[in-house]
Amino acid sequence: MATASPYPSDIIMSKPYLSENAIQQIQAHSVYTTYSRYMAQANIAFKVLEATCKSLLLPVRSFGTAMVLFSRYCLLNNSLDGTFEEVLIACLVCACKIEDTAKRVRDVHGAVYLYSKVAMVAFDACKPKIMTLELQILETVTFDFRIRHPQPYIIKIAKALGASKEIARLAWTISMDTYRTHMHMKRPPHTIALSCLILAGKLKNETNIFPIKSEPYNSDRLSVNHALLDLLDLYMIYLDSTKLGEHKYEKSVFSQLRIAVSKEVENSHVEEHTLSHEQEQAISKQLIRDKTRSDKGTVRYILDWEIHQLGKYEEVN
Amino acid sequence: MNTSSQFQQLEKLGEGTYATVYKGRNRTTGQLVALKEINLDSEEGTPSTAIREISLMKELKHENIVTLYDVIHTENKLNLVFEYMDKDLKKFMDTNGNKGALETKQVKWFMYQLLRGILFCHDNRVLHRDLKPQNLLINAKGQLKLADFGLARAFGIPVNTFSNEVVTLWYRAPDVLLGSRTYSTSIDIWSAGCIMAEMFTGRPLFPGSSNDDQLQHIFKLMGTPNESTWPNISSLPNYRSNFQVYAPQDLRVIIPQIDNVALDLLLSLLQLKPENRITARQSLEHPWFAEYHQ
Repeated sequence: MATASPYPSDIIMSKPYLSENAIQQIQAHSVYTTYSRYMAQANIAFKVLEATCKSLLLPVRSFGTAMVLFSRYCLLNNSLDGTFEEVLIACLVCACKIEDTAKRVRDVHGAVYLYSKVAMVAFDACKPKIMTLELQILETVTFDFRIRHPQPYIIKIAKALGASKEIARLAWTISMDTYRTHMHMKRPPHTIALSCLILAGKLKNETNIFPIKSEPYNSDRLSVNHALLDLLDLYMIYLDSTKLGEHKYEKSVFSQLRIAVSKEVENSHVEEHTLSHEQEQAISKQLIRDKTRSDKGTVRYILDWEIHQLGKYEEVN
Repeated sequence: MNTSSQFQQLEKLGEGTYATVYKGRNRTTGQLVALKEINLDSEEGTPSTAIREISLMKELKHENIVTLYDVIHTENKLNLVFEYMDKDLKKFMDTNGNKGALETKQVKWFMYQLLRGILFCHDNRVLHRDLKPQNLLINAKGQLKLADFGLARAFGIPVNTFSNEVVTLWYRAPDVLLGSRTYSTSIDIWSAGCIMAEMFTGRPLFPGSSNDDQLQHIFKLMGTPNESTWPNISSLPNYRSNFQVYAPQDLRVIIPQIDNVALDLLLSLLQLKPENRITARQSLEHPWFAEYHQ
């Protein structure tokens, strides 16, 4: 709160990316208090939304955005303000509006329930809840719709590397699985894309694309390695429920790769996070959305680079 | 809006389908703003036009595009806070023009700013899709800025799934009227041409009342296109082989005061075949704007 101002107004700055430590701290206060609880739900959300998007003929980016909204909503709120299905409907409705692939809320509702394992609740009964959830989701992402996806970068980087179509296709499959994880909150889409291509190259033993330099693709090796670790962690535990799982790779392949990557990360001796434990904890508490905030008064949502345009009384959360 | 908020709500400026716009004042800085209060739909929730507008405007920062300062969420209402502009181009023409018609010098300066705003959108992969005098705002300094990005969209590839229900009829490009769904940046250029002519004359160039009537207005003046002037035109969904055949007219009959250089630009903007239309970048290099080139 800007206490010095005679007209209090809460200003919230967009935080498109969070550190691994911050995410771990927040997790304990959020909807699903551990990562494995979150992943169990994220895997269900993935299946339902994937089938829903297919039946509504929606492009991959609408699906991806819906999953990004889902993972942000689950992490940055302390409870679900609706049923699981209502949250999925609201996420997809928002995603369609953001991606300009608008669908009627009624149609999204019907499709989500069709692919869910629970009995359908009539549209009119859940409509008010969906409307409320939609606004909550928009607040959670602080009206920052800069959601970008790795798929276009996969195609461009694969071409630049001279990778085969099989590699690009496999990397695309892997990039779909990233939507189950928190990776999109941690890394930009081009870094995720690069890590997907590297993993695909390793799995297919396509040696001609290695060694790959990260810098020409606006990434650094450490971030790419951290993204790779996230991918490998996903496949070591959840391979069977992923898209890549359909390709019949042995889990041991992933653990061997993980040993190599984590060795390199350890040897790089670079501290990725410079905040102290106390700082991280303070930040993570702030990041959970205060549900009463918009009832108390005005909340202004700004992008990180707009901070310089604020007046002298204005402080930012 | 809540009176304890940062912004004091003043008089109503206008009402649209999904929003009401008020003049407002920032209580701390005294700065005037335009407050766009979004109406939430009971069936569809937050209008997708509002989300599109927030999403595109937050990233488009240019002196010829109206600035979105803030998104304010209060008491379950959504308000967009925009830079305050004195009037729209339509009102400017009504108050400052001679029966709506502006001086050549003024037309040139507004066109230059309009095309700069369009170029910035196109460079950032955004189509405005709804350019018209009511969506171009003028401030006291004589700056012109593009506003109302509710129908705008980010373009990418493929572009063939666009809806053909966009752009106010009078400023709508013939390819869109003929049902083409693969339109691109050239649709904004056509609108710019219509606006240029309107600034010269004070009257809309093609005031059509329906899709067919709009095409009729365009063909009467620019000539009816055919397979030789526009290959594959007959494959467009709304093309009819029995379109009345008109020969192109000399635009100087309608705009007697226009000089040859300005006419050359106007004709490059108003090319029937979209591929023949000049781009925003090329148009800014046009000799008519030579005085702004350094």
